[in-house]
Amino acid sequence: MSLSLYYYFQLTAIFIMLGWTLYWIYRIGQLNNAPIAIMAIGAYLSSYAVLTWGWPFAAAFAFAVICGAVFAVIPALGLGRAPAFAMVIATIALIFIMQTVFRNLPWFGGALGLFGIPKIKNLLWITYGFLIFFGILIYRFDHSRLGRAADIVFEDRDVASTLGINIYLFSVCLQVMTGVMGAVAGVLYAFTIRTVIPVYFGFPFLLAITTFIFVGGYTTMWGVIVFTPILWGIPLILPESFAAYRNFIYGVLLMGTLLLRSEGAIDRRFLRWLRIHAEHALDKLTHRWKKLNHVRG
Amino acid sequence: MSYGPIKALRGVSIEVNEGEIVVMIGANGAGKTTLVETILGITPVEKGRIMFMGEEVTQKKTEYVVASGLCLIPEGRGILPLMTVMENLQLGAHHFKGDTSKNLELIYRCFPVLKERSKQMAGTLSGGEQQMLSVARGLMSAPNLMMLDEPSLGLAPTVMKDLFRTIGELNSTGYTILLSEQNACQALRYAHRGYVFETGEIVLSGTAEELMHNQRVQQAYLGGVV
Amino acid sequence: MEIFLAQLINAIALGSVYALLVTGFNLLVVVGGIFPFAYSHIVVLSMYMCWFAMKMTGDNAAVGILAGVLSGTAFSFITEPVFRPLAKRGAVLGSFIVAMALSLIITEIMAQKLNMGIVISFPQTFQGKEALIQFGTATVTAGQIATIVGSIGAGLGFFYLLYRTKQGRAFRAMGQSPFSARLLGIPIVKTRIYAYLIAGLLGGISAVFLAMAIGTASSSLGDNLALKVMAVSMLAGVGNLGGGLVAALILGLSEGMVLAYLPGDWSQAIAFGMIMVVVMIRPKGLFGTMA
Repeated sequence: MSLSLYYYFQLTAIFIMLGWTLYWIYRIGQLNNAPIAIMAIGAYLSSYAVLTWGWPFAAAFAFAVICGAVFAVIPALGLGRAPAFAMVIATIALIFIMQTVFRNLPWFGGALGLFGIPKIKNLLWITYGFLIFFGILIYRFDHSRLGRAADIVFEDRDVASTLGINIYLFSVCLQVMTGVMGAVAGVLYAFTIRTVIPVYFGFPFLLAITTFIFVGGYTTMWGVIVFTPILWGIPLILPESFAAYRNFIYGVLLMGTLLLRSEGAIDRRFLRWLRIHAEHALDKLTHRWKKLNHVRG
Repeated sequence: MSYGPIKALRGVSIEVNEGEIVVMIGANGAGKTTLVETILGITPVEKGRIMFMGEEVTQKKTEYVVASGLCLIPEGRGILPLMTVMENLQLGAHHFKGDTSKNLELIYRCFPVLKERSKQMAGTLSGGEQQMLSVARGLMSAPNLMMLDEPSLGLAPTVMKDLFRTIGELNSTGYTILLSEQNACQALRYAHRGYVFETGEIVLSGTAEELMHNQRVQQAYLGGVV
Repeated sequence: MEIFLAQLINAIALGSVYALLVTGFNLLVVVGGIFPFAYSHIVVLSMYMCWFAMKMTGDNAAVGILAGVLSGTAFSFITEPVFRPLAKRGAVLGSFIVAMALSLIITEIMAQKLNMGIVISFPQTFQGKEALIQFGTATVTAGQIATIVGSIGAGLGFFYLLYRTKQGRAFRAMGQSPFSARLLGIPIVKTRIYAYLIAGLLGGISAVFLAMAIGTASSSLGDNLALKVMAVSMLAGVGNLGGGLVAALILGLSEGMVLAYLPGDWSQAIAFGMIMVVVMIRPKGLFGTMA
């Protein structure tokens, strides 16, 4: 497989994972950007463990993810109750703080970061394995009582509390879960690009992921899957001059979507429509197949 | 002013003539609030027209309607608790062109307590005083038509009596009033004409006298006794 | 001791500009009904306009100031229609994301097109680096005094507008209860537009003083300032105008003092750390929100 195709598949998967972290927490109406900050932790700690301590990949991976999870708990406890914009701001601040910390602590290479991270065999399989795993988790969540509870919280928090839904607990759990996902994404990212620079995990990146999910559609998990490869991929094949405008275009797309089709491209109505038509088509096919067999027999 | 049918209200048509007090009676949710809010342009009209002083104001923005001389004293008083009494009054005159001191004189005559408390935060006033402030605020714009939505809600009986008396006095000085009330007894005493609302429709209309002696009205809204 | 005083004056100058920024920000929150994340970016853009104007007229300070103030007002005005549908729906979080997108767009424009992405620096004379007052080894520069006095002046002007004029009352009424404001016949859309204009004016003025106080600007300054403005407003309580002033001074002071003893990067992180702490302990801010 060519290198650029490898990168494309890898990064698409990683970005979908990150898009899902934003999606999952937004299910209860909270905009939490902490996974990006925790991604930095995942990336730096795993690379450091392999480069400096010589640990094997699996150990470094586990180490980084555990640290990420532990770190996710602290703000989670504090932010679970915060009003919506407080959480957004605090987590954006978290991203900046994380960048500053990693840029200034002596062990992580400062602004130049860490490089020369070794290649990992079968990273593609590992990445997609995790992607499918998380995908299944989220799918099961969406189609369970928890998913419905999340819908209620999203619509009206007060009603949700009166129904006995513990929003705080919900929020904390989701934050930790998405933190873990962020850490995993971070490790995979570091070992894909094989360099870790503070600038990777900053605001423009956050905005790119935000664009993927809001343009794709934040009411379902599929929007991210369809639109991440498109929105991420197209700038890659455009000539250099256009590529520089990538962030600009993301910004415009994001604004346009929120103003014109606020739920994003793929919303639940579209999914229902799709399902109905798919069922129709399937019915027609089986009908024809049966008829064919009947005629034969 | 006349009015036509709209969504949530079916086939509603009322008229208020200059110098009258017209009262709308009916239980909560019967549609009275919807009607006054629609007149002001807050709720959109599906079918029908609103004519005010010879001009059609059906699709006009609220600020236009208010500037033409209509004002609404909403249910729950609608004052701004974090601003002073005086500031609330000044806000009432937002569209009033000219010297407001005459308006203030009238208001202080009707509600002397407001003069005392003019520098206080409106939120610190008692329920009755807040209602007075709300009415006063409406008066500041010297409206051609004042609409009051459930002004007696939550008021003590004596305060309520004073309020209705004031409304009657204002009418005798020339103010046209459209009143929406659950407290039919007091309201009918001061009104000229009335409409009875039930679940979004007008079921009865007539002069206040007629309504007061109407059996149905007596049983449903006057407790069986006049 | 004198060094400390000099740092203090510097911190106060910084804090007073933050106070102006936060005031404009809060105005947009309270009357505009949105979360104006891109406000600081508009301010930085105005700084660029000021710089361009001076470059084109041979460092004419008056032209620069005019350009900065006018562009701030104009840019803010232009963004109003963008946020109007969101403000109508009361979609504050949505407006936040839109504002984030807008901020990205502005940052990209500054990074790619304006001065080819190179940091701009304002002429020394504009920064007013001449010492006006001297005590011992420390000096207070003209720029600092202009900033402090100017910010106070602008602030006073704004509060006069807010508390003693009809339009100001309309602003406060809309902020407290859009429904009541509507009943009073206050023109909702027009009032919002005025709020954007005034916030833009304050922003333009802040841009000028920032140019004096910081001396340089770059495409990343927008994000930097936005975070600080949000930190201040969160510390005070979003929408709380009076509280915002106090919190701005607090941030200015802590940042100024920390700047003296730690490298620049860390001072930022500390400001943000403050936000996180406040958010976790008193999410409504120290003085309570209006929202």
